[in-house]
Amino acid sequence: VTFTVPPRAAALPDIERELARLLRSVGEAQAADAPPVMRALVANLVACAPTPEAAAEAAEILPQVIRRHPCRAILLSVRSEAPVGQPQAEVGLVCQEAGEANLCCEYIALSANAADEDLLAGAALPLLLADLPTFVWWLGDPPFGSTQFERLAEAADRLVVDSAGFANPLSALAELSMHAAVHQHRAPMCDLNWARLTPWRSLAASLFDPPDSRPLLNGLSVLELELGRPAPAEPVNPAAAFMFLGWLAGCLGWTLDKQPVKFQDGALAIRFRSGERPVAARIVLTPEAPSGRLRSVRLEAGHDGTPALFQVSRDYSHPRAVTRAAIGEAEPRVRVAHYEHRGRAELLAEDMQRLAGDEAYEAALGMAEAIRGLLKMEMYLPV
Amino acid sequence: MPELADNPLRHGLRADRTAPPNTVVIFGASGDLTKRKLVPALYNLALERLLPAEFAIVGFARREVGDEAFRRQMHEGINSFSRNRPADPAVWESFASGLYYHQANFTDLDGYRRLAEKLDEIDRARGTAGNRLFYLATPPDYFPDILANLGACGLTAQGQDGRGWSRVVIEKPFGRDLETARELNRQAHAVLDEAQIYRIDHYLGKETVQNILVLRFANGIFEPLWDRRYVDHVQITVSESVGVEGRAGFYETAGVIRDIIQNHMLQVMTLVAMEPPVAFEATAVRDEKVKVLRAIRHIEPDQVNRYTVRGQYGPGSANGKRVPGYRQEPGVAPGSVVETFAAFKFYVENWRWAGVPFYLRSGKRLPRRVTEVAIQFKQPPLALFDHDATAGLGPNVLAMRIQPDEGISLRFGSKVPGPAAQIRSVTMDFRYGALFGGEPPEAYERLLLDCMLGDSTLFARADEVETAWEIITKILEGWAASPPPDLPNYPAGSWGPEAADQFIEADGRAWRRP
Repeated sequence: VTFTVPPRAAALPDIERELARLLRSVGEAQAADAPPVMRALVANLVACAPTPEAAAEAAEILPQVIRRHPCRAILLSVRSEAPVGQPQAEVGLVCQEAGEANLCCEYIALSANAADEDLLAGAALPLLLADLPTFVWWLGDPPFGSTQFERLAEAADRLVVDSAGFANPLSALAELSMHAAVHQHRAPMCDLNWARLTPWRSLAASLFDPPDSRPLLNGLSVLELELGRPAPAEPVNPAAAFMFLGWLAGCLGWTLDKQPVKFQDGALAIRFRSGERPVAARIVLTPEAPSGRLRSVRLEAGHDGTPALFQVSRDYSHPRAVTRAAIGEAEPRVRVAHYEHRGRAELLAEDMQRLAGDEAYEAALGMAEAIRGLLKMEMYLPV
Repeated sequence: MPELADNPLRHGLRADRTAPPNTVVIFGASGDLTKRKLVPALYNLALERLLPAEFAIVGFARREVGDEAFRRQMHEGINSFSRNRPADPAVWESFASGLYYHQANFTDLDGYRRLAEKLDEIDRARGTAGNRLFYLATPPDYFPDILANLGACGLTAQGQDGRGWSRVVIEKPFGRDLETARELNRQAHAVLDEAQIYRIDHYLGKETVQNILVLRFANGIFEPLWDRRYVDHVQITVSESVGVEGRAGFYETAGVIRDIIQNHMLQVMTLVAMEPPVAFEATAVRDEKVKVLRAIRHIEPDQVNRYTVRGQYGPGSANGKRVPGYRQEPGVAPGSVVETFAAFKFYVENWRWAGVPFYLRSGKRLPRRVTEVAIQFKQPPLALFDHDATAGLGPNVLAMRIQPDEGISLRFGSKVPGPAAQIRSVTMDFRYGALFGGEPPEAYERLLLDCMLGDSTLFARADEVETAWEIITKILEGWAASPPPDLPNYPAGSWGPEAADQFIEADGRAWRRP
């Protein structure tokens, strides 16, 4: 996905005028019988990229998001080569034909020298279109409490992070959880990593839809999650696994056994209790999934002496997942389900369809943080 | 029988509408509808992970076809007609493992007994939990036999012997007139409760048709204007650019009135005219729709020439090609007087709509394919600006386009920049496709899923169908008693007969050119 009008320099005070001029220029450059150019915007999206790598990623993703969810996208980034004193601006357009119109959305990139990072939020806020919801997407670990974060958070209707991309997953997860708990009155938080879990949750739930499986939920005793192993010298990012466990525990009313947990032999063992019954969970690292992504979920249960095994697994080389339910001696029920890769652009655009908070996420995040709290940090070494 | 909602893992899943374990039995499995619409829709649901692993389809038809050949036919259908094509090989393999064929005559009771045994076997093998959805996609002549035989074999019973739910979807046309619709309802009610019957009109599965209710009842600004005080009239247009396209056999017995007006258009009209329901659920919504149908002033047989117009297309051109007239189409009687165009003026006699005409028109071989509802508002009470200044100003119109380019537009007056007080109409245009990415599901996907979930909001109830037929049957009687106009009376590719223009112009109004 590319820009219709690639970003070009504009003076900060002239941004609105320059955007209007670009819009006119698209119309003037068209053939007489081409569809009329229209401006279509349903949201503000502010992307905060604290590093050059994050800025490059955001610059690539934002036009894709715009095409899926028409919005005014504003990229805030820090560039070492930016002059000190005032943020620099670029503006561009992303247009697409839709029916009988050529719909154009606006892109604004504001960059500043690291010394002026605190000026970016102030430059962005006047550019937010009134009466439209504002999404603030923080790439990387959010700097909770920083001036810039706080100013943007105040203006946001929704804060978006991706815990899969945290550089310091454990500490960032802790801060995320604390922020969500302390600032409940603020814009709801959403995590693209949680959105990635939606198909996993749905597929796992589907295993217990049949009437003969449902009672086995109360007999779950062993859980095993396979999680993508990180590159050497990189830390494990367990956020997805912790949130999945947190969700499952929350749905089934399990409590966390407050025993310290540690990574041992490439696996992390966590204990829950369902009433008096112990439930043993293990997170096992695997090279068959991208770092920090789930590869499979395996649930073992016993009910009235009948053993049962439920499994969801994803094949990352194909757009598919397999569910398998084996109850007692019966023929296992196997389903191959379509599971296409959804990049950050798709996840973000999908999340922008909703403004309400997600109680299930908040509960899962709380439990994930509780699990993290049990982790013996000194044992949690890079793999 | 536990419900899906009882599954604690389903709590908090966003927009979770996954079907419970079930088997869909399609009567008329060798027909076009199965191959083009139903199985592709079910495949798409599977692709979206909205069907459970415990799912099966049984195709029921007269032809000698085995499971494998049936699977091949359905695979071809998906590869040709699914919005997600070609089929993903692994997903197809998993989906196809639950596809079965059952050969039997629709009138042969023994075939249904064998079907019952087969369904029990499938329940055991695939965990489909005894939930069955029977889809009647046959010609309507078979509906009574199928319903009776399903009942005779106990297949319509629910909750007995570990059985789950049993539901029946009945395709249109639901009857040919009031009497046949009543008779079909009697036959259905002899073996089913009303809550088990899903009378399908795929128009109601279209996103933009459903959006009529959202536009009206989720927004504060439209509803206060939505009545006789502000609305001058309503126009509903369903125009098709195609001719009969191989459906001459059906069309010769139906005409546009049975094909489009009695079902699709009256359904859309009820959504436009209904009062706010007390809740967005099946009974409340359908209660309000029925009230609208009951409030429609009947066009008595001796009034048809005043309130209706009939037309039939002759030779003409469409999309730059010469096309034959209706009577020259294969399968059409050379002297056929079947209408391919009809226009109506209805009044809804209730407090909200008294005196507001609803103009409905539908036809084949019109210039373009479009379905829209246009609410035309009254002019301001005082002409404040002089006549010259407002020469380019039309009435305010809120148009809801259902297909294609689904969207909503609002026409209003604006000053032309400059020193003169020139005013002209401008249009504020909203298009779904532009603002909400992704392809919306096909109507059949939504409706099949609703059936499996037991949500009948978008299906017609017995009294709804009969009330609609009461209105239409009187018109049919009037048309039968009054000689048709000189047919054909409009060339293919035009907006219908001149009589239709004169019909609305007599009221000081004009058809929109959508």
